[in-house]
Amino acid sequence: MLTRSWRALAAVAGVTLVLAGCQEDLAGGAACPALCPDTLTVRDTVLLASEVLERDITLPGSPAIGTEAQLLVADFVRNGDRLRTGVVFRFDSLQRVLVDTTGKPPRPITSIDTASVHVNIVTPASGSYDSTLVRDSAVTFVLYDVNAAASDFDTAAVRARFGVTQVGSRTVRRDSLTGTIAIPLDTAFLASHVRDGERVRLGLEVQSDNGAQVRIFSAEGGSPASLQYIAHADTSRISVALSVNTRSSAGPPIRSLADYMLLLEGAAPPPAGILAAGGIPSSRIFIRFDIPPALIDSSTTIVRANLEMHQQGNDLYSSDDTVALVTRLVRATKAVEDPAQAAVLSVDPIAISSSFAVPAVRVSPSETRVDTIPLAHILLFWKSEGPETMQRSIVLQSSTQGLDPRRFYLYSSDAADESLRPKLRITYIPRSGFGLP
Amino acid sequence: MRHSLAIALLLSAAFSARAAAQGTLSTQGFGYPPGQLSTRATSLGGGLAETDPLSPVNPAAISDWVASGLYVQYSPEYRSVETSGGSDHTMTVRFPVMMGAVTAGDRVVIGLSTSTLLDRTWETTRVGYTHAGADSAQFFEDFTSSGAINDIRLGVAFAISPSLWVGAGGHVFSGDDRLKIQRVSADTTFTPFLQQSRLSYSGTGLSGGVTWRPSRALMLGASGRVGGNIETFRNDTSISKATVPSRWGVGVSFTGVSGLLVAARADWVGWSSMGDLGRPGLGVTDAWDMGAGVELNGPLFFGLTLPLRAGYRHRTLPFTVSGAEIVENSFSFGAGIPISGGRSRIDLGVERANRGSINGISEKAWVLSAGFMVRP
Repeated sequence: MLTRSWRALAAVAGVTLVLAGCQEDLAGGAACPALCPDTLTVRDTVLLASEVLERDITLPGSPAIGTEAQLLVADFVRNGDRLRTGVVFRFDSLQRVLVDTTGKPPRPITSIDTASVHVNIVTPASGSYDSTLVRDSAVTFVLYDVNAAASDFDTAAVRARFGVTQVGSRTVRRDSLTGTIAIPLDTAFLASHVRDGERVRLGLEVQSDNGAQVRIFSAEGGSPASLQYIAHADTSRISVALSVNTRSSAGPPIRSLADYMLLLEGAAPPPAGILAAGGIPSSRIFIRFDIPPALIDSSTTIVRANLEMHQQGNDLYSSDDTVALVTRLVRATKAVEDPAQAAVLSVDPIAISSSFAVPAVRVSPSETRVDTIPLAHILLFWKSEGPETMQRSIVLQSSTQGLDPRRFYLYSSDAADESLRPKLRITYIPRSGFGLP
Repeated sequence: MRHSLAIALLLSAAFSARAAAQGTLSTQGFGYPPGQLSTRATSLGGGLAETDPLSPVNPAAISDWVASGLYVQYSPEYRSVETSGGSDHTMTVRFPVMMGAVTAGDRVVIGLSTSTLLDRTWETTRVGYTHAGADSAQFFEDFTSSGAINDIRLGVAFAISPSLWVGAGGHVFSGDDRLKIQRVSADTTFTPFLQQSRLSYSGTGLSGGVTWRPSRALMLGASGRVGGNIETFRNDTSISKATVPSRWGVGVSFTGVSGLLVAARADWVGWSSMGDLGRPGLGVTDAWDMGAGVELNGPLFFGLTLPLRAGYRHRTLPFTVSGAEIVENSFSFGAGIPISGGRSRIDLGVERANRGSINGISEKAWVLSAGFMVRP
């Protein structure tokens, strides 16, 4: 009897185990919305510039001179506006002696032949230079002696040397604008500088009847231009290749100035009272927020935060191509009060986490419109950090800063028309303490 | 503006939204009441509850344990919600009754039980729209609630005479409820939203009852429960108070025909006393629960007589939808398997419940049940 009982128990236990093994599946919703009214209260508020912006200013000179990863040599007219830029290559230190392995003392270089400057061309995203960038079938690179008895940052003296003493040139077909281009340099000019112990500073321009713009890599971009020549001493010869440099016996070298871009002719700087991003020389926009703690430092959850900036159409160098207005996150503490210094400490938010990515606003600077910059993820990040240490600031910059003369004009918090000032539109869900039916 | 913003935030906190997103008829309000019935009693339409030692209803019925033992019950519910727009099929796992009893001589039996008073376990997924200014954005919401209010009873049954037992019980009502809302939006300018909340409950009550066997063929039972205070806490802060619903019930079972048991019961619960436990406007109503069933000796199963059961139950669920009461009608069937010479038993049951319809929404459920009673 007992055995039979336990056999029965085993049979029933088996059935029960089958039942118990079923996965709980609670998800439903077919009866919504009849049985599912909104549980959460979603609120929307618009914070005016005077309520939420502590500071908004234009930071000129960004990237700082010499820190460009790419250098633009351009001479063109678009929409009636002319842009002319040049690039300066500094060879402050040259090889002036010939050293061999025989143990003899170094011998001064007496003559030079086949001197050239090698520049590394940036291939456009389209894969090659087309007629929109170089209108004619060929472009001429011209080198000038731009050495000036002036301080490192006296760019006006250097700018004045462009077009004065030509020391080299080369015409290149448009379809050959790729890789490294060697521009022959006047050997007599170089030899005299080598023999006399003088520095060489060269200015590069492009010349084309109908306009051209070419990008080259800089030292910061990892592929600096170089000076190459064959040097002779007595009966010996050597091939010399020197990268741009600022090594000089006079004063500490500022490495970033080994190569840099100069605006030779361009548009006027942005007007006062407007925030400007992009252009040549380029500028950035710095915005420091003072978001009400009741929203960001509370149990309220911000689900959307759109910074609305009114864009004033800017027709300078207008074209149909769009440019991106890019948002960067400032990672400076509150102790860094100077916006220019704080902006240096800005990063792409995606570098912190892919979830903080702020989509770029792709638009033509010539449009008059409202740019909406989604900052909700940034605000969540700031909330997670707390209000104590880090400042809550962003930087807006053009995706082509320093390489495209077009410039975004955005109305600031000082705009005469209050309706054009920036706004932060926040959608939030208050901590509801939900749960009670 | 900042002042107005602060005021808006305060107001929104003060008039925060209710959690009423459950997408079923039966789990409205604080949840679904499984009934505190054993598998056997459920199979009999609840008719046996007042005299059933395994249903923690009448403390006097503990007397029928006869010997010390344990009882555990497992009851998964397969629910379908039908609407004009579609249907849902869900499965909820419950362990609605657990009980132990010890005998103290021939005249006293002590029982400790925990049973589900209200089960608030559900999950709702839905699509909605967030309106922000002139914009609107679609969102996908997943709202889950997991928890229950449980009735923990310490009961004592005392024999006045061999045919007359009285019982008393002290009740603690406790439990918690974990709720979570997640929203993600198709609009990437919206961040994912997650908010969680945990409620806990604490209440007391007293119950009393009697079972009387005036003859070998007839057994009567009656019991009642008086509710004490019940409070809801969020993070140790009391957020609402009410009274545990009182309950009164009577039942009768008849065994005058060999191999046949007939049982019936009527039960009333004053659920409306819980009204203040929820937010203002919570729809809750007092409810009757009536049922009857039969048990008869069935075929042999591994040499043992297999009792077969059937029942019908009609009741009103405590929480309303838009003021409309939800009626549940159910048919049930079951069987019992004696083990160890009848000292232990496994009860199996299945219940088919129909709820509604209200506003074009109806609900049907298969509730399976397995009860394990062991008396070493």
